[in-house]
This record gives sequence, structure tokens and C-alpha cells, in this order.
Amino acid sequence: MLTLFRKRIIKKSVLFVLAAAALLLCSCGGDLEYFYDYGEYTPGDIQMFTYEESGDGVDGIVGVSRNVTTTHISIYNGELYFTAKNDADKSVSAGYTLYRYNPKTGNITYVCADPTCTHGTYDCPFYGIDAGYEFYIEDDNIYYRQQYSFYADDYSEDVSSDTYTKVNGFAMYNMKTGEYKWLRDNDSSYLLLDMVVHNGVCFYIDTLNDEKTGEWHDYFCSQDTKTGKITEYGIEYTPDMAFDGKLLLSAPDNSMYCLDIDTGEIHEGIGESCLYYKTDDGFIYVDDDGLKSCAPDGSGEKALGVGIDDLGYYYVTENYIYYTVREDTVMIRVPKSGGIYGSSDKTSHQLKSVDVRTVYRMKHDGSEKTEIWRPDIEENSSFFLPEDFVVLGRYIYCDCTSYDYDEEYDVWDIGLPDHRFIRYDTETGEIYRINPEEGEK
Amino acid sequence: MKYVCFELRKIFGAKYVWIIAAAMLALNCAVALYTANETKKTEMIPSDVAVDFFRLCADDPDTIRENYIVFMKNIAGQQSGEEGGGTPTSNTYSDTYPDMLFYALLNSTDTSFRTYGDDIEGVIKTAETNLYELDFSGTPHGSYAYRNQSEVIRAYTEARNNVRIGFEYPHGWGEYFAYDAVNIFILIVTLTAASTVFTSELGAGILPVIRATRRGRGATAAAKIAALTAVSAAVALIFALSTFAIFGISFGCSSPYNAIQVISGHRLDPHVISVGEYFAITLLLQVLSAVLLSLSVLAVSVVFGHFAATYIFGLGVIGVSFLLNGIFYNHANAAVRYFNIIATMNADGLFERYRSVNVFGFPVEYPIFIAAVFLLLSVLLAAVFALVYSRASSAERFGAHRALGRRLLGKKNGAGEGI
Repeated sequence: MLTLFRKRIIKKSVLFVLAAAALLLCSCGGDLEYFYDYGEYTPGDIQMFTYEESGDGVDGIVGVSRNVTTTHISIYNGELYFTAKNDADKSVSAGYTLYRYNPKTGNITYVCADPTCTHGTYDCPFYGIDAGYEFYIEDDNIYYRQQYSFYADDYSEDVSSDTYTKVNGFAMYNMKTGEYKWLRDNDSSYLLLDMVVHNGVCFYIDTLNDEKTGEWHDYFCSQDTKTGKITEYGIEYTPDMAFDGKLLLSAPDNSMYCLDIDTGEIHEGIGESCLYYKTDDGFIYVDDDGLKSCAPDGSGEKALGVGIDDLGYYYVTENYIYYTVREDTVMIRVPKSGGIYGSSDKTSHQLKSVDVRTVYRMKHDGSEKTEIWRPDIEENSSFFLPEDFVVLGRYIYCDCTSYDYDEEYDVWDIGLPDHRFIRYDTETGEIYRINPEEGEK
Repeated sequence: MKYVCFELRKIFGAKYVWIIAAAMLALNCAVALYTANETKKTEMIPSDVAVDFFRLCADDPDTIRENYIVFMKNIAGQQSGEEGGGTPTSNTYSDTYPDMLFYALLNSTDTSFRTYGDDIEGVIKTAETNLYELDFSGTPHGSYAYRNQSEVIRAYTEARNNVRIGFEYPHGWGEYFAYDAVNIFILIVTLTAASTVFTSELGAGILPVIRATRRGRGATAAAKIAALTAVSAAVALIFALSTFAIFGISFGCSSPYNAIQVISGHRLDPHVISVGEYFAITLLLQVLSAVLLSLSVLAVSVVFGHFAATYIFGLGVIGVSFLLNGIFYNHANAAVRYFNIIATMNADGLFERYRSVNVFGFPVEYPIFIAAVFLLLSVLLAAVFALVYSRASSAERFGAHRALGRRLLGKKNGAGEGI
């Protein structure tokens, strides 16, 4: 009896479900009358743009894959890597992502290799890349700090909500394989700084609490990215550069130390300095007196004739040292505190003196000093002031602020930010704006 | 066939299978109804009202355009304070909902459909630039990175040239596809049915007897596999179709012939398929996943030989899949995110955009890869079950006689020794 009842139930249930579904499928919207026409896609040509080869490069220089400029441009395998606002996201709140610029083709591509990625969600490996912080490239691996938060339900705004997730720490992305690896959280501390990576070991400064004194210190630390092992050295040194199994560290008083990465022993370095470049000839560095060079063993210290008071910034290539010298100032109009750039209310502005830096270059031994780029400041015109830069071949890739002349008030204003950085041709003096949104102009 | 029918009768004969199936079906219907009602609350305009408006737009676009121009002039007039400026909150199309909402819905839908070609072109151009750069850097044409970019160009060019989006108000389907709780219910019922097939015989003590018969091994094992596959498929279809019925009744359904790209979240779907075809694919994936779970449970049950252990294993598989699907991944290509039963049953994540797995340097799309692996695993598990089931030792046969003897004599201990 029960079996018969079950059979009836089964038949009726299945028939009902199938009938209901079939009825719904049949009653779905019928034939469509109007279709959108997108035409046929025809691939366009990618144009090569002008690029002149040069005998100079940065292949033999240690210290360039760490993005040393204030707005973080780094060179790796002859290409420029930089962070900029995500061009795929047109909203005002668009976050940053990592781009790659090929100086020979002029192409700017996302380092995230997925062409369907919007780079605006945590699906993207570079979502939330900390643009105010440096990244480091070694052996096709990019090491970077990543920081963002989100609500899983998209509606809640309560940070105590279960759906609120905060991501803050170090990540690694392999450009060849597309592998993404989360290296460490940054929950316990609030700052991870000055990253240097050597043979897969990441050196950095972490702000940690001293349990004995209760005080916070910027301690030198390392993490082996393969094993995940973190070492806290308990000293307030800053990692500067690494080569041949050695890491150069600078103490708060600028005295230098050398860490043997394999043994973990710390030895005294080559004097007092910071911010090194290592070349085939030795080291080029800055100390309290100015720009200097020395032999690979630290001997033969030589002043290169640029005093610390004049020196603005410097960058070393295989053949030259490029450096800026403050030689002039110019008065520009900036908003008073709380004012807005570009506001039509000019009474809320004030004049401010800005350094004008000229770019020079010289040989590693200090010879052949040559003026490369002197900003041309003429009335009724616009001009660029070079800031920090990298050099590749005969081109300087430079963080630059542009200034426009306001005839009505006879003063210069800060120009519209229509570029991420510019390319300055040291042979012709031509300037190109480079912008992920528009490509090169 | 006789054996299959016998196995089916055995599964349907277990009372608890019915109880759990009925409870899960009722629970799924309740959850689906609740979800549909909650989703309806977020609608700008009820779908039936919006459908009527879109039909009007398709039938008489000139009138709608004129109405829209008057509407915009009225807004402009009101903003500038001109006399004669009408009210922008007029109700031409519905007494309840202002025109502004209808135009907003029309604009957003129309813009989304119209710009589809440009968006896909953007993806192709990005991949072309990537490919050019890979070429420039000397990346081998046989590498995964190179092939993957080429495949993206091929897939999206095909989509760009062949996807035909029809003008309509898409409704019903998106809501149905987004509802994924049904998969849990399907898996629980499948697990319950699968746990019954082998362990009930073992528990009753008749398994060794069956094994000892002429067709008690290979044929019986095959019948068990076939019956369980049929039951799993039926369960998946009944649950999916009943869910579809609930969402269809709640929202109605737009054309199943329209391109899948009209569904929100599938804009970058590179497949040239219709909504109806995608619906069929989701059903197939649900069936495939349910069959895989049931066969894995069957294979484990013949090894464990214990109902509780088998059931716990099945629950573990569901739980792990659920966790893998639900936990936070901060990278889209984390394979486990898609390579699990729950994610496969949801299907949306696999189809929303082109994603591939690196198989010996060749990019293989996730849906194809997963379907192939699931099929292979199913065959493998079925083979494992058949093999283990068929291998009964003489001692086991002897044990069967003893067990039978114990039952016949109705004694608990020691009875039947030596039979």
C-alpha cells in the first residue's frame, strides 16, 4: 500500500515539476525583434614609435630594480614598471595598479596578464597595491605591499561586520607563471618599509613593539619567501642594497654595515653613507659631504665635485652619473591652506618659491661634466621641472610637474596632471608625456 | 536492466531517503521563495511592469523617443525655472512608478547592450598588445603565456563577431542562476541515496550472499553504478527544475534565445551561446557534480563498509567544497576556487569570463577542463567500486554463510559456527 502511494507521489511530483518547468520555458519571452549590430572586428596595426638605441644601459648596475624615485618607477629587463591609477576604472575612486612600459615600442601594458581583468576588484593580483610604497623586482618576481578592505555583502558599512575583510601585507607575483603568493600579513605591526630582495629573501623594516620597554621601534627584519621564515634582528638599521650574498645596511647615524646573508653576521661596512649604487668600478654614494665614489673593496674614496647642498637627486647608469643641481628658483602660485588647485578664486592663492633643478651628467670618475637638461623658463610659456628620474639609454624618464603661465595675473600655475611621467630625449631635448590612459604623445 | 530496477527499488525502498529528499525539497523551495521575494524588494520596477515597458519600446520606439525628449525638456525647464516646464515625475507608463525610473532602466540596459562590442574590443586590444609585447620580449610561441593571450584573442573575436544581443528586459534567468543554495540540497539528497546502495546490503548481512551468486559481482556492481547515476541525475534535475519553476513564477523569464551576455555578470563571457543553452549547461554540470559525489561515496562505502563513516565522508566532501568555494581568495586564478563540486554546480564563476588552466603549456578553459576531469574521476571511481566490490575472498563468502546462519537462527553470538 505504502509502495503504491510512494509511486503515485513520485510520478505526480516529477510530472508536476517537469510540467511547470516546461511551461515556464515555453512561456519565456519569445522571438526577439531587434538585435544590436556590432559589425565585424578587424584588428588594428600596432605602430612602432621612434626609439633610438644608445650605448648606455643599467644592466651592470645594482640598485635599479628597487624603485628609488619618489613616485616609484623601477627598471627591470629593459622595461619600466610603475604604479598609476587603474585606467580601466573610470570612477573618481579608482585604485592603483602596476603597469609596464616598453621604451622601445611605447606600449603600456598591465602587469596583470589577464586581458579580461578589470583590475578593480580583489580578483586582480595587483588590486590594492600600495602606490605610496616601493616594490621590488627580482627573478621575474614582483614583491609589493598590498592593502585594501571590502565587505563581502557589498551593503554593510560596519567595520565590525562579519563580512568586513581587511587585507594588509606583502605579496609576490611571478610575471612568467602568473603565480600569486601572499607572503605575510601586517596585522601586528603598522609599517613595512624599505624593501630589498636578494635571492628570494625579503629584507625590510617593520615597526615592532619592544616587550621589555613597551616602546615602538623600526626594526630590521627579513623573510625567506620560500620557507616563510621571518627573522627579527632587533636593530634599527635600514636595508640599502644587496649583491653577491651581502646586504648593505645603514644605521640611524648613517654608519654603514654589511650583513652576510648566509651566515647572518653583521660587519662594519665602508664608512658613512646611504643610498648606494654598485657599478663594475665600485660604489657611488652620497655622504654628508656630497657625491662620492670608491673601489669595490671600499678603498680609494673620491669626492666627485658635487656638494651635498647643491645635489638634488642622482641616478647611475653603466656610463654616467646623472644628477640634479639646484641652480635657481621660480615663484609659482599655489592655493592657501584649504584652497583648491585650479580654483577660479585667485585671492585664495599665495606665491611660493620652487627650486629649479638642472640635470647634469658625468663619468663615474667625475670627469666630463655636461649639462643635459636646463628647464627653459620663459614668460608666456609652459615648462616642466624635473624631479626624480630613471635613465635608460639616451632617455630620462622623469617625475615632472608642469607649470602654465597665467597672463592675467602674470604668474605660473601648476599645470593639469596629464601625464604619469615624461620622457626627455637627452640628444634632442624633446619631451613626451607618458600616460597609461592615452599612451605616449 | 532487471538488476538496475532492483537497485532502484532498493534505493526508493529506504524510508529515510524519502524523508530526507522530501525535507530537502521542501526546504529548498522555501529558501528559493524567500530569496526570490527578497530580490524582488530590490527591483527598481517590478519585472512584469518593466517587461511591458520594454515591449512598448520595441513596438513603438519613436513614441518613446518623443516622450523622452519632452521629459528631458521638462526637467531642463524646471531646473531653469521657465514657465511651462512640466513635471519630471509624470506617470506615463504606470500609475505607481514615475517615468524617470523607466527611462533610467531603459538607458542603463540600452547602454549596456550597445557598448558590448566596444568593451569586448577593449579586451581583444589588451590581449593583442600583451601578445605584441610577448613577441617583442622573445617569449616562445609555444609557451602557456603566449598561447593564452592568443586564445583570448580568438575567443573574444569570435564572441565580438557572433554574439547577437536582442533588445529586451532581461529577467528571471539572472535571479535563477544567482541562487546557489539548491546545490547543497542536491548534494545532501544524493549523498543519502549513495550511502544506501552498498551499506544497506552489508548491514543486512546479505552482501556476501549476493556476491557469491553467478551474477552477483560484475553485473550487480554495474547495476548499482547505473542506478545510482540515474538517481543522482534525477535528483539534480528535479531540484534544479523546481527551483527554476519558483523563480520563473516569481519573475517570469525573458527570452531563452537571447545571448547569455545579456545576463548581468556574463558580459565578458566568451561563449557564443544563448541563455537557454547556458541553462542546459548548468543542468548538465549539476548532474555531473551530483554523479561524481555519489560515485565517490559509493567507492568509499565499499572500502569503509560502514554507513556512518561513508556518510561522514560525503558530508566532508560537501563541506570542503563549500569552504573552498566560499573562502576569500585575493587572486582570480586560484584554481581551488573553481575546481570543486560546489563552484562547478554554481557554474557562473566558470563562465563569467575567459579563464584557463595551464595543461602542459596549453591553455584549457575551466569549464572544459573541469567537465573532463569530473567525467574521468567518475569513471575511475566507478571502476574502483566495481573492482573492490567484485573481489570477495573465500573467507568473506564463508563469513556470509555464517552471517546468514546467524540471522536464520536468530542467535546473537556463536550460533551457526561451522556451517
